[in-house]
Amino acid sequence: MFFKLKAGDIAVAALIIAIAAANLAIFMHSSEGSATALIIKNGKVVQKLKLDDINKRIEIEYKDKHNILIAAEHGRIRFEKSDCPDQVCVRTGWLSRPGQTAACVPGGIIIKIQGEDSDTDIILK
Amino acid sequence: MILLKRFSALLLAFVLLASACTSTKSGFEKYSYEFLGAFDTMIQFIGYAQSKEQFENFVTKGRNRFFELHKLYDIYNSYEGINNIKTINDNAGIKPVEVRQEIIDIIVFSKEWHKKTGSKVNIALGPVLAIWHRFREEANKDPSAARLPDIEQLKKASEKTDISKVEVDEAKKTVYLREPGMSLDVGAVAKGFATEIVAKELADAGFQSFIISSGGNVRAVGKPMDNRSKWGIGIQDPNSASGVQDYANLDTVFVDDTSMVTSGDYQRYYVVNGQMIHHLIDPSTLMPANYYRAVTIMTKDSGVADFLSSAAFLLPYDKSRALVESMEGAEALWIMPDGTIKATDAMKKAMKKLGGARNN
Repeated sequence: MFFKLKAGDIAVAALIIAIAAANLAIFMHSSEGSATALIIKNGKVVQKLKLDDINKRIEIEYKDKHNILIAAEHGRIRFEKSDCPDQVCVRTGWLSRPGQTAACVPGGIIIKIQGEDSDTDIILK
Repeated sequence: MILLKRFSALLLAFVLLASACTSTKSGFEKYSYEFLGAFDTMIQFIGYAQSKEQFENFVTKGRNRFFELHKLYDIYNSYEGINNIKTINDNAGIKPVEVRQEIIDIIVFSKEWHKKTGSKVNIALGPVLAIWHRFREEANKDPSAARLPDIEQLKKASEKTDISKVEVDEAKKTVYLREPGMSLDVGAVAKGFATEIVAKELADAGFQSFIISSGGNVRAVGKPMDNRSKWGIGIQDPNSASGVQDYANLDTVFVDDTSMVTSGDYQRYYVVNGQMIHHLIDPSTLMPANYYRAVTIMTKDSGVADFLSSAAFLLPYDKSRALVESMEGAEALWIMPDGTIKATDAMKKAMKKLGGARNN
């Protein structure tokens, strides 16, 4: 089965391969979900952390209305300590998967893992 | 050429497949937004809209409405020019207070559902809940000072909790607490009731496909505008909420156009002698009820779901299950103290792990 390719055929084939590769790259990237954590303070993103790139534990302190300590390790992040009266933030524990959130309401801080879980839109808690 | 054509067709199919995996319905994108400052919790909007601007218009409207309802249902703070629930409490035994329709509605609703659900959820329990609230906040500020309130003090407070003495005049739009020392606490219903109001208003404004989550209350409107037929709602594992292990989902429930509300012991609590003292108080014992780790209710109206989840949490299992089964369109999930899960049939069928539900 031998045939000659015309220049146009090759161009079309190359184009299709390129689109396929790009799609695959985007698809793989979005589903693999290398977790990025956002720290949102008073409605603004004040910190972006690529959790998989963290090799040594990081601690971030916010001193405002309340003293709040956020800890991040490889692949996960949490409210470690807070001197707020309700402690719901600390009790939420470690976040690691896309879509997970924790909030310190008295301190005005939200931690959110960017991206989406494939079958969970929201977590009831 | 045939081979190349076949190869191209294959590639093309793959291109389309790869795109379809993440595709939303034509012209719609998924957005999310969360904010703090209303109802002492984080409120999240997740929804499909035709543009970021359209989504932002809807959530701004929703957010403003939540702040407004928060002020009306607030029992701790007063606001310039607004008669709220604190105003009603401040005038207990003094005079009826004229209030907005949203306050009349929540009180009439709560009185009606108090009767319907075994009299366990009482918005007039304010004097008792205020004592528990104070002890919890003090303990969380200084864990070494954690202690239980004195039972005599609680009993004395409970003498001022007769819900029949909460008088609503719907024509004059007034509420009157007939005895001094009485106070309303709408904590068991306000978030769910407000969420239902906001969800309805946004749906009426043209928002077709969204979820509102407000601290244990989820209201799903319509269906997701992608290749799924249902929304996926994650149920948190109460044991993972202690902060010891990574927070994990117990299961995922697939639903459309309904509400799910959880009452649980694992977020608002304090610890005395190693024992968790949570915030859901049984009016008969004046102490936290310990029948479950959590109860989740699924039913269309978010206010009903919120009220019913509190009532179901405060009743022993047989009565709790009988109550839920007597309510048309209500389903429930009980997480027992030992971690065992019990569920009504339709709830189980909607669950991914427990019932093998799929979402296509």
